[in-house]
Amino acid sequence: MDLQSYQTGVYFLVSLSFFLFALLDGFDLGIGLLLPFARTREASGRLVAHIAPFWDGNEIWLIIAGALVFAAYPVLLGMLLGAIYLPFLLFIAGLIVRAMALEYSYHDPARQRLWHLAAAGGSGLVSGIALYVLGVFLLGLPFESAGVLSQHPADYAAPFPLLVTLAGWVILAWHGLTYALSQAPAAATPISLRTLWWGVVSASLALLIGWILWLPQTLWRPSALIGIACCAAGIAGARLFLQRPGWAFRFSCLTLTGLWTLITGSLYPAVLPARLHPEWTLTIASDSAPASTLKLLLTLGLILVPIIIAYTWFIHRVLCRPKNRSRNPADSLA
Amino acid sequence: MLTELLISRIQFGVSLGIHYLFPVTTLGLTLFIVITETLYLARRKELYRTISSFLVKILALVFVAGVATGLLLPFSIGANWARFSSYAGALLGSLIALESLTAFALESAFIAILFFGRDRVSPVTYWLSALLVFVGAHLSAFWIVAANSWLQTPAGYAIVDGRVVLTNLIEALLNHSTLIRFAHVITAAWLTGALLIAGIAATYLARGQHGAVARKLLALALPLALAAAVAQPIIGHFHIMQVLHHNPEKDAAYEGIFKSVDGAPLLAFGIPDEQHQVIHFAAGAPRLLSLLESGDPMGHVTGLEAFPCENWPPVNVIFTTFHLMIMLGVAMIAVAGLGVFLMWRGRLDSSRTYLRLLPWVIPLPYLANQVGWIGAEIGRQPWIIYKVMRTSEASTVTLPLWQLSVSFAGILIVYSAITFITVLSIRKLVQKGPLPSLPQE
Ligand code: HDD
Ligand code: HEM
Ligand code: HEM
Repeated sequence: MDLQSYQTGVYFLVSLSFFLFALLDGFDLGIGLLLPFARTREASGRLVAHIAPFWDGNEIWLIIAGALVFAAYPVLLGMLLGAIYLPFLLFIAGLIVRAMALEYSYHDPARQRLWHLAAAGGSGLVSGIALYVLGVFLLGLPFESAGVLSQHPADYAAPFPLLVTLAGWVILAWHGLTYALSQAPAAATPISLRTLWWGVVSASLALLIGWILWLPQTLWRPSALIGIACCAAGIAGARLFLQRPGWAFRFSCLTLTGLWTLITGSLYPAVLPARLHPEWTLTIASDSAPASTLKLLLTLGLILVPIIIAYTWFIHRVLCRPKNRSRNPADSLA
Repeated sequence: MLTELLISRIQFGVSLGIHYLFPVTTLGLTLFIVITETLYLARRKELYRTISSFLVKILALVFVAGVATGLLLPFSIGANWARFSSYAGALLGSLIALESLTAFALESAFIAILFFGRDRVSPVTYWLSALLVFVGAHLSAFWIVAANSWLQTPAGYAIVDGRVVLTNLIEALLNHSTLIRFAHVITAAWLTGALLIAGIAATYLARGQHGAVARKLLALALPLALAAAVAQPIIGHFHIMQVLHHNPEKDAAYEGIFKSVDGAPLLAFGIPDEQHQVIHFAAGAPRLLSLLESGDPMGHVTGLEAFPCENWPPVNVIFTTFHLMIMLGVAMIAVAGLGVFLMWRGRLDSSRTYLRLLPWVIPLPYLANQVGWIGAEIGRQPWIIYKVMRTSEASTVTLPLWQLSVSFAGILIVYSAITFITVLSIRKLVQKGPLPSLPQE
């Protein structure tokens, strides 16, 4: 293989890790977002029980993605985190609050509702900041000069990232709700499935309009067309199979896969796209680590990612067997 | 610029130091969980299951605190040390990527079975999960210790176009200090876990509660604590020999040798005075250092004077932390030794003073770990990568002072809160005590 294939391969490995974070931790975050809508402590407790064993394993995909970025694009992480330092720390603070809150909702049952709300706040912060930054990436980042990002918050304010954040919240909440239903098909939901489905339809349409307004140039790539088709199929399919347990969740995964295709396709080959001066964009050609590092990462990724997916799947199966579903996980912890 | 660098350094050191409190406990606890689960599988006595469930509950609190304090760290290398990460990121990032793909993923996936699967999986699957969590945690420690050791004794790399490039993964991983540092760190972690468990069990025994559980825990923990505590100075000796060969200025500073001499003493105590290049109130064994380092009581020991001043680490800090670690190590040998002796004579139950003392010993290994790392890391200064890159050339230049101050204050508050909540909750859990587990369904 030549250098360019390695660069492209690692790009997709990194992108795949971010996608697995969005897909897997996505339902944890989505359930987090739904917690304030659960009316009673028991209701939010049931929702938390679905994710309690898994959120940590799912979150690892973020660390994996971050470490891969660190290794594959050494300049990127320093430049980006140096520019959005405080928002980034808030993002980490959100992860910290969520982790502690999910754990302590079992250890400190007296304040359980409070911990649930803290978990909701953490989830909102984490997903909100991540989605906003995704929007900024899609638009392109404000550079001051080659290799230097702007430090002024105003340069990062734009309607499109805001739209991505709001629409993303709705889609994540939908992902979380369908996941919860796939675990406990008959349970009462904090928001009606139908209402949220209409929410997803509106969010997707708004996103599409925003995309046409602000990013028309990327819409004609084949990946964009495939991605949009997958999204539409996921949304329509969920509607048709709304009553079949587990299917709405599968279709939600299809929607996220479509979004991922659309996003990766429009970013490639940029790793740090510049908005006004495309010539300052960092690409896989200008900021990749040397071939030997890329080869190592790709080999390891190809071997280890399937292994991780396999044991994650095994553990889900073991802990979510139908005969175990009625059990309250709190029994074994507190 | 100086203050910005200083805040970045302190922030990184403090967040790592607090993070380290938890993984070190995880390493020790998972060892004991694997031991008790294995005993349960072999002998099927309920007692072992009760003990293991109790330890798993403590682990849950420690683990989440480790995760919460750890999340920031890999990213803070990029955020606060941008020039360092663009210089060495391809190599160091690869090691952290390897850590997350092999160790974090394994540990955090199977720990779900440990926490939530007791009555959902067979005892063998449960035991296997405990083992995999143990392996994952120790693998994680290996990667990060290898990354840190690479900074102390870099190997397996080349510098191409002004950047560090990995040329040989195995050489980089197994650089001159990795294996000995890993042995020392893991032994320290097991000692920490053993003394924590012994301290908890002693409270029960002193109050006459949970007798069977407490006696079994002490029977497991005290001998292990003694073995680890005795092993530590031996491993430590080989560790310092490694330092002597590969970071000679650091070794001279650890031992407080300013002037090169033949027949150097091994100091047990002293207050270094860098300006006048003397150690005040020095007390120690004459010629022992020469004997240890070269096998000859009159052997030559190179002092700091042989090295350019700008390459000296801060002698004060690292001499003091190093000797504090050793004193703590000696104290722990004494405590664990006395415990094993009392147990052997069958007098542990009635030695109330000793049982009351044990809980107060819990902080000692934590302190030894902290000062050990402070010595190792500050002793590497002024280098961030020994003889390759200076710490002053490593920080992010674009971060303004006010942002760093805000982040430092925030991290201090959040990390202290996590530590506080965790310690309180463990105390509460310990007061509640181990519950006899429900019969297997
Ligand atoms: C319970 C903890 C504990 C105990 C009792 C000891 N140590 Fe230690 N020591 C550590 C925990 C530790 C550590 C925190 O794990 C360090 C930090 C870096 C490392 O490699 O391990 C360390 C570092 C460290 C270093 C520095 C390595 C470097 O700078 O790269 C040396 C030479 C020793 N130790 C030697 C000793 C000796 C001779 C001991 C005799 C009693 C001893 N240690 C007890
Ligand atoms: C990739 C790995 C690492 C990097 C890049 C790194 C880098 C640094 C840097 C730049 C400092 C500041 C230097 C100073 O304050 O004098 C520091 C300090 C410190 N590091 Fe490391 N280190 C790494 C791994 C570790 C590990 C594994 C530990 C173990 C716990 C550790 C423990 C410490 C401690 C305790 C300090 C505190 C010193 C102080 O108080 O300033 N480091 N490290
Ligand atoms: C630069 C230094 C370090 C970095 C970047 C780092 C990073 C991290 C991260 C991101 C996590 C969370 C993983 C999760 O979500 O499960 C974590 C947890 C952990 N770390 Fe660290 N860490 C460092 C130092 C250390 C050291 C010195 C050790 C042990 C010798 C260690 C051992 C562990 C272990 C065992 C865990 C599992 C969680 C726990 O039980 O606390 N880490 N670390």
